[in-house]
Amino acid sequence: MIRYKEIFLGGECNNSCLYCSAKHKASPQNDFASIATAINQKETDSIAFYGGEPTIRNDIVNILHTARVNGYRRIKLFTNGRVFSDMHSLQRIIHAGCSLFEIKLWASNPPLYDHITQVNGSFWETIQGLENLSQHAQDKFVCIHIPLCRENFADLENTVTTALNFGINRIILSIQDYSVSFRSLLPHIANAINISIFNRVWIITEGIPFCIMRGLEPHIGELLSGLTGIYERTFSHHNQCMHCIFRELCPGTETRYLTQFGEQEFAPVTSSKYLEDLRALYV
Amino acid sequence: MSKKKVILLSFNWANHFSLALGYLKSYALKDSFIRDTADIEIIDFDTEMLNVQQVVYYLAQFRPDLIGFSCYCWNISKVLDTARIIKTIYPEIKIVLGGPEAGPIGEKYLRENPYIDFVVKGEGEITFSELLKWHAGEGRLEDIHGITFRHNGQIQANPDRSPIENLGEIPSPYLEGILAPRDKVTYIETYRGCMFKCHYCFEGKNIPRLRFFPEDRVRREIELVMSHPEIRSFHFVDTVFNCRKEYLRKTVEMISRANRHGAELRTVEIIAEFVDEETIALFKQANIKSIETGPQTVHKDTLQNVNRYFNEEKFRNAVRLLEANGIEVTSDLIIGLPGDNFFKFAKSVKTIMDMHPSNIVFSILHVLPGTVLYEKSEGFGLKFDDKAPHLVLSAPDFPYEDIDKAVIMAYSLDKEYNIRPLSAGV
Repeated sequence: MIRYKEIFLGGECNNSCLYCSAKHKASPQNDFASIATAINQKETDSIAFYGGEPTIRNDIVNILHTARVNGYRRIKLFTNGRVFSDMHSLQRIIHAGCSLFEIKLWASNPPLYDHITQVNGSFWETIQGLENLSQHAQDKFVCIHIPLCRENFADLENTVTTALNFGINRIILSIQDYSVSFRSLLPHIANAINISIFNRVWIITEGIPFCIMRGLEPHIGELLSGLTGIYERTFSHHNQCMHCIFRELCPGTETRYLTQFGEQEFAPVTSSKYLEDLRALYV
Repeated sequence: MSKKKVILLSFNWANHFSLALGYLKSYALKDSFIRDTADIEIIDFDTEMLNVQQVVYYLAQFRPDLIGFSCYCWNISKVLDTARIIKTIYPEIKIVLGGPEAGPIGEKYLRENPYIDFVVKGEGEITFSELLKWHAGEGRLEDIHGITFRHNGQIQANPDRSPIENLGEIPSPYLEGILAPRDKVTYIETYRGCMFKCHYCFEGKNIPRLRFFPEDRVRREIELVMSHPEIRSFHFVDTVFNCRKEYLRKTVEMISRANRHGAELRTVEIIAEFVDEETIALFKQANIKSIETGPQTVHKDTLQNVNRYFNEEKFRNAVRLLEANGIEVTSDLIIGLPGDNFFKFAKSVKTIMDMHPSNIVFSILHVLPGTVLYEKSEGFGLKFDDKAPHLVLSAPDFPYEDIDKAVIMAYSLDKEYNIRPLSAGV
């Protein structure tokens, strides 16, 4: 719900994730001067930096400090958290003014995690980073972003349980791989929501059509935050959507998903007690 | 005859002290019979720092004849534990409860807790004084309005006591030296009642109009508090600080004249819709650094259900004006109001976040004794926990599961929205 000014720092990363596009990986690092110019154009009091991996830049402390001196109240990093395994680096980043973190967590175990990131040892570094972050005394907001793909969806409940060990403030489940069906994903997502809510941590989804999320509507991230975000998506409606009361609100599904699975899983929603309230929320 | 030992006890948060108990003592000591027959001591315990055993130990050393407890929804559990243990050890000690949690439902508290002797309903100054006189041998219980008590094994509720018409009859606990002003936790009350009659609040209910303390007494209280160089900030407990422009002008004049040490006013409760350029100038003159205001929800039907006023355009304009002038705005939203549901609550959050107040406070509806929502909960379709703090459990369009999820979402948004950046000096 909070609007962040989002600044891309460049594609360089210390992971090489299976689901990161070659184009994204090849994006050059933006220079400090252009980043500083973007920071100086203050449109809101919240700013987020993403990459690639922002924390591997030599000038990340300067970037964060620039945001701080420009008066941004909320300074957020999208990160894999590996650099935070070194407490000294984490300390510098926090002291530069960063207090909000969105950390990607692919899996609950080293083999699966390292397979997806294609970097041996990355799991333990991220886990140590989360541990260090949870131990740090500074007031902070930590969100765990769990991208879902064919390799990790069966591990989702374990991944959520792992994340909950670190005193986090939110979990986001987002679809990263459209070669796994919603039918396969949904039971795991429903379990993950139950685990997280039971542990009193807010959890939302991204990239799942509303009709698939029936009964779980409060957790549809797009309803609360709209379709903005740093992840590239190309949604489209399909024939079933034409009869759905949510067609004006729901972006549909990823085009790649329809190509892979067709429309069989989708059933138009024909009634909802909360339609007007949802519409009012979304507009 | 030795004097009766009377303790007025309050469990407070964060080193605060009870203004209400100060009023009880200052009013009681006006009476020469009470002065001759009772020693009254106020004890403020920090509800977080001390456990019940420590409090009982303290009371056991003092061995009072009567203990009066100030009861709120957030301290009643400790009050009852303390009273039960004390009464078990010393059955002769009289236990009196008062305050907004116990007063409106005195019969219930007496019925469920046999160790309680009296519950004072409504404004307690006169009622408690009459009770002290009875305790020292003067008067009859049947004649004391505003008490509920046990009589021949039955619970008896005497007629209600009317609100005190002339608040000047209550001596100032500050000016009488009963309460000593302290930094950050000193409260001044300039009037009682509320111009609004919101159904979730007891402040304005059953009291037709605002009653003001005498202007000169308020002036002297402000001067006393602000004469202490160590008091850097203090508070007004008035329900709506800017209820009337003329009154605001007078109060601000008193504050600015007395403010020789640059003290600040924080968390002043206001009605945002009344804020205009002149109000801002007055707030700045009074050195108000932060205010707190509604709207609790932004939905017309819900607002109508709870009898609350909200004008979105005026509210938005007020937040903009206040923040632009360096006065931090804290905006309050309530989860679980009748008429709201999960998505309507989310819409309220979005609407308020879009106005960019410094802070947003999320709270779950407390269906408090003495409020319209409590008395007509069935009509509103509200289910709530009978035990304090009386949290709402479900409303017609807000089932328990959704209220719980809204609360969890609010925890998360609270952390993200209200986060404080690292201080400049670090």
